[in-house]
Amino acid sequence: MKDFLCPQCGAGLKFTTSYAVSTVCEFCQSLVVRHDLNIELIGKEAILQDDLNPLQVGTRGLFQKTGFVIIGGVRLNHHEGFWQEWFLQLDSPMQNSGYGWLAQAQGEYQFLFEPLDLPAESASKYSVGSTISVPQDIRKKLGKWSSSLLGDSSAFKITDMRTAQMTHFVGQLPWAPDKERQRTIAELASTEDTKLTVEFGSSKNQIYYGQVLNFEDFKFQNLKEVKGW
Amino acid sequence: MVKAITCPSCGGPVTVKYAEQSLSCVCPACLAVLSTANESVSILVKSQLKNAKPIITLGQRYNFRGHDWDVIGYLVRSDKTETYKWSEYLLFNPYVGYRFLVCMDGHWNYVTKTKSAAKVDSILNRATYLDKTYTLFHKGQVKTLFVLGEFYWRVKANEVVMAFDYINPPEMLSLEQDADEEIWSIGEYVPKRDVEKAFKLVGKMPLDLGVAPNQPSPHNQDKTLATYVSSLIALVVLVHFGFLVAVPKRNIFEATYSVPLSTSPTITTAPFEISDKAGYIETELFAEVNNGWLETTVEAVEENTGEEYEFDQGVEYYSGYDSDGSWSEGSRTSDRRIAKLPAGKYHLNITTAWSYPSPSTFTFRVSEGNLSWGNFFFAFFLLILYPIYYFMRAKNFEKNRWSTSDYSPYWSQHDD
Repeated sequence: MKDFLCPQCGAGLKFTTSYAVSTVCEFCQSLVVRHDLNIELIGKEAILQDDLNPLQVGTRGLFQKTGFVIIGGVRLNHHEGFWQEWFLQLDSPMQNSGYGWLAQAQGEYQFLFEPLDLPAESASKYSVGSTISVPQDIRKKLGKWSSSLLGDSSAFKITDMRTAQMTHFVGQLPWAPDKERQRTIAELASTEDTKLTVEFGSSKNQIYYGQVLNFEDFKFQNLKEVKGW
Repeated sequence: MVKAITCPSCGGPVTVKYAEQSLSCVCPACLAVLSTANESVSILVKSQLKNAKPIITLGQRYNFRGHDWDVIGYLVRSDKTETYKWSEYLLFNPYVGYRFLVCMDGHWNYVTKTKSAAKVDSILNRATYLDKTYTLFHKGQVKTLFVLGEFYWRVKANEVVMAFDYINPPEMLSLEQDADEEIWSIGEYVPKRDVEKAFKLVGKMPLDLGVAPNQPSPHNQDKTLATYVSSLIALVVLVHFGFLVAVPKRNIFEATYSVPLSTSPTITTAPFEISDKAGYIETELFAEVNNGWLETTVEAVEENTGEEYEFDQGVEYYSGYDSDGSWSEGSRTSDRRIAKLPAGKYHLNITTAWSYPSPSTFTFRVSEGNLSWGNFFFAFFLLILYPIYYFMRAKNFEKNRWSTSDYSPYWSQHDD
C-alpha cells in the first residue's frame, strides 16, 4: 500500500486496508481523503469528548470466531440522541464482506456486514410500521446469512426511523466524510438472529445486516479505560 | 465526564454526571426537566409536581446481577387514569449499557431492551421472542408523571405511549409504542430479597401486594412432587388392573342347603380345591331371612393334613313401616374375607343357628383370586389428595394473577 504523508503536518498517514478512503491524522487531526495518486485535505476534526465509551480505535474483538480491529469511527447525532459506528477491519473476509461495522447505541452493540444495495426509494415513502420492499435476489443473499429472513416479511417492518447527521470522525473510513450530509436510517424489526437496518441514500439505499450481541460476547481487548469504572 | 450547568429555569446549579450520554436531566432544586443534548440547555418541562420519592438513592453505585450499576434516573409512571402508579429506576454501566429496575405494588422487575422485535400473534394475543411464547396480560396507555436524575433520551413529562405486556412467568415481554418507535423490552421478576440486598434497602422495602403479572408461582416447587404422586397413582391403577386381568376371580365352591330345623346336625359340604393362586379367598352367605337372622359357624378342614380353620358368618335383615315410610336394616347376603389358606383339598362343616321363623334355604359360596378394592381405593384416594390440593392452590394463584387482567383465561374474574 502506498504511503501517504499528512499534507498539514507531514506525519505518516495510516491506511491499513484498501477499503479505507479517508483518515484523520493522528497527530494534527486533519481530515484527509485519498484519491488514486494524491491525497486531499478536507478539514480538521475536533477531538470527541467520549470518556464513557470503552471502545476506541485499536480495540480488538471477535465475531463468530473471526477477529476484527476497530480502525475508525463516526458519530451520528439525531434530535433524540446519538450513536456511534465503528469501522472494522476483519482478520479474514466473512459473508463476502471485506470489512464490517460495529454500531453502538445506548449500550447496544451490533455487528454489521458490508451492506447490500437496494433500489433507490425515497425515505418519505416509509414510516414506522411500514415494510421495506426487498427484491428477491437481495433476500436470497440475506437468506444465505440466515434462513429466518427468507419467508418472513415481518422482519423488514420499520420499528424506528430517524434522520441523523455525522458530527465526528476518527481514524479510517470507507468514504469521504461529509458533515453536511443527512442520513435517514430505518431500524427494522429484524429476527432473533439477524439485525437489519436500512440507510436511505440519494442514488441507492443500502441494507445492513448482522447481529446484536452482548458486550461480553465480543471478547474485546485493548479497551479504553473508563475513569471510575 | 461530569458537566456543571445552570438551570435556565431557576438559576440553580445542576450536575450532569454522564453528560456525553444523557440527553435530559432534572434540576434538583426546581424539578424542571432540561434538555442537555446541545451546548445550549433548554427547558423541556418547566415544572413538575413532586409526587413520589425514590427509595433507591440516585447517583449511588450498586452491584446487581453481576455488574456494577449507577442508579441515574427515576421515573414515576401510571396508567391513563393515574390510579395505578409504579416507579422505574434507570441503571447505567458504560460497558453493558442501560437497564431498568421497575417496582410495581412492591414487586420488582429487572428490564432489558430486547435484541429484536418480538413476533406478535394478534389473533391469539400472543408474542414470541427467543423461542418462548408470551400471553397478553395488559394493554393500555402509559403516562410518565414525574422524573428525577438524568436520562439517555429526551424525557417529556406527561408523555403518553401505548404499552403491551405479555407474560410467561417469571418473564414479561413489553412493547412501548408511539408514532416514532416501537421498543420491546424483557423483564425478569426479581425476588424482593435480591433487590433489598443489592440496593441496600433493608427496612425501606415497600410491601408487596397481590400477585404480580409475571410472578413465578410459589407452587412450582410442589409441581414436581404432584407430578411424582400422580405417576404413583397411575402405577397403582396399572398394577391393580393388571392384577385383575392376570388373576381372575373364580368360584371354587357353591351349594344351597335346606336350613336344618335344629342347631345340629352339622352340614358337611362336598370337597373343593383351593389353589396357591394370588388374591384372597372370599366366602359369601345368602339366606332369605325376613325380620330375622341366620348365623353359621364354619369349619374349613384340609382333608390331607386335617388342619382346621374356623370362622363365623351370618346374615340379618329387618324391614317395616313407620311414620317416615318404609325402612330396612341389614342384608340377606354377607361377604367374608379370609386370609389366604394353604393350597389343598378342603370341605366345610357348617353349623347353623337362626331366629324364628327360619328361612328355608341358605347358599354358601367360596371364591378365590379376589382383589382388595378397599386397599386400592384407600391408596388411590389418599394419594390423589395431594395432586388435588396442589392443583387447587396453583389454580387459585393463577386466578389471582389474572384477576387484574382484561385477558384472563379464568371466566370467574367477573365474580370478584
